[in-house]
Amino acid sequence: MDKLSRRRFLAAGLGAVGAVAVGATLFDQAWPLLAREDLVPGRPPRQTLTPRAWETTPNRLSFAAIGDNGSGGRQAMAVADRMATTYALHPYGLVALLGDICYYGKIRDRFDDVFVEPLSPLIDAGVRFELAIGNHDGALHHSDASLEEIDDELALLGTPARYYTSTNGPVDFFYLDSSAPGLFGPDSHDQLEWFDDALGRSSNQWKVVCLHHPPYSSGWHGSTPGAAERLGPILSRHAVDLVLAGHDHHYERTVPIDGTTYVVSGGGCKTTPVRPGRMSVVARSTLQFMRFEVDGDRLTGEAIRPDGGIVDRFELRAREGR
Amino acid sequence: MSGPVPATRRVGPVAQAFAVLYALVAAGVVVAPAVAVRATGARAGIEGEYDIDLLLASTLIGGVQGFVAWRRLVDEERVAARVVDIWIASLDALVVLAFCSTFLIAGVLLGFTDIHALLAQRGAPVVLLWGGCQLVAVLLAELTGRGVYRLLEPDRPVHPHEPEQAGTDPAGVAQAPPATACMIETVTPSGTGVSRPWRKRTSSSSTKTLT
Repeated sequence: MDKLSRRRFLAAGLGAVGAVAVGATLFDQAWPLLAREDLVPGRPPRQTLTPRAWETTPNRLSFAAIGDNGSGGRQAMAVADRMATTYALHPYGLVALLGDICYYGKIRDRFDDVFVEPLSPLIDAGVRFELAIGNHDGALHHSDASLEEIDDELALLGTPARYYTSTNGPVDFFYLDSSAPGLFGPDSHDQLEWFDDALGRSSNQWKVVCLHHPPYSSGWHGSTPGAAERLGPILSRHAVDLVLAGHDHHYERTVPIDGTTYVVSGGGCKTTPVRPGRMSVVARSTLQFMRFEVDGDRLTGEAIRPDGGIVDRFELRAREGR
Repeated sequence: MSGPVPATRRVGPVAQAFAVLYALVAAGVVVAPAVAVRATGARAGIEGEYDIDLLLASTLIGGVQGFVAWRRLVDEERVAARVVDIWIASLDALVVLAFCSTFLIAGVLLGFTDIHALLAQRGAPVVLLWGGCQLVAVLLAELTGRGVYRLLEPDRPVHPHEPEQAGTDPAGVAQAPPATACMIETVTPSGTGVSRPWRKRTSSSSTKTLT
């Protein structure tokens, strides 16, 4: 084989192998990754909102919930901008963060980019943020590094612990650590016992549980294995009204399961596909956040897209006897 | 590069069609990342102006890349000794283009998130970063295509501005000039007597000879 033929063979071989490898990677990984992630940096919203414009009474509460919003990218900024616009129309004083508040780096380095900048209009308006820790805030199986990450996050947001409860108007909120160690590890009994006791002590009209990993989901990750079995009996025993989760990057609401409605609201900056399951009332792959109005024995929820479109609107009635 | 300019040939319609097809694929590969980002935004409920800048930049760069790639193929078609060399070089260029136009952007965006976030917050146009990555990808792809061609066809350098030679046969192969060109054909006996075959003469006076 002469010199030119060898070159020809080498160039053709590299081209063919490269075409197969690059083609497969592009179609299977790279382009879906670009579509799924929120890598393009965005400009934060610059709205000025009226501080403390909301009204919270023993019978009334307005709050929002958002999950998986920690990119600092254009899509995260678009959702944050809509949250600010929604506040201007319907002020709310609390945002429940459903985990994954920081992607593409450590929370200590990226806190301004992923939290302060996008949500600055709400922060400046005095809105309070309560966090359910998520797996990008610390690995599903806690290593020393991820525990450090969780500690940083809790400190930065002023969150009291990995699982805790708070009361706002007529609603008692229960924030859980839904990581594998939190739900299934050797110390998980501590959390579950605390959860059972806290729900038992709760005498408010509404009980809302916030956690990152969804017990029921028809999306990319799907239902968290074992979570429904672990939490379901406790939720049912104490007649919890609503469970809010993230982790899967879509919006989904189930039919009431043993009286509890489960919502996945993980479209804070990314989207992943979803196909409605047997339990789904609504399932949509979209960017969104949630706004809730509690007025006496009625709780109204809306899933809102960045363009202001309503993905879902639903109403719950308080349980009898409350 | 200096040296003899090889004979050129006209590019046939089939080769032209393949060149256009290649140019479209090359342009598509450049535009694809922006389409992926934009399609997600549109489906997920982001209003119109988001990501349009990226799509416009990629379309512009993709269009330029398509034209440059088409021009390269046509120029190489005119002089290459073996058409297969052109396509080997083009395949290599396309692989480099496809790899770089997507992975360069993804790598740069993922690798320097803090810097990009800071710049974006200060109002720096992200489209410059996006377009810059894609221009680098186009440059690398063109260097690859031209470099591999030169390796495979060292005796057939491309001279893009060389005019086409008119004489081509239907197969597109340049016709060689006739083997007898520039030679005088001698016919015997000559009608003019000028080129009468040589014969031995005896010497005589010029007067005798002229009469």
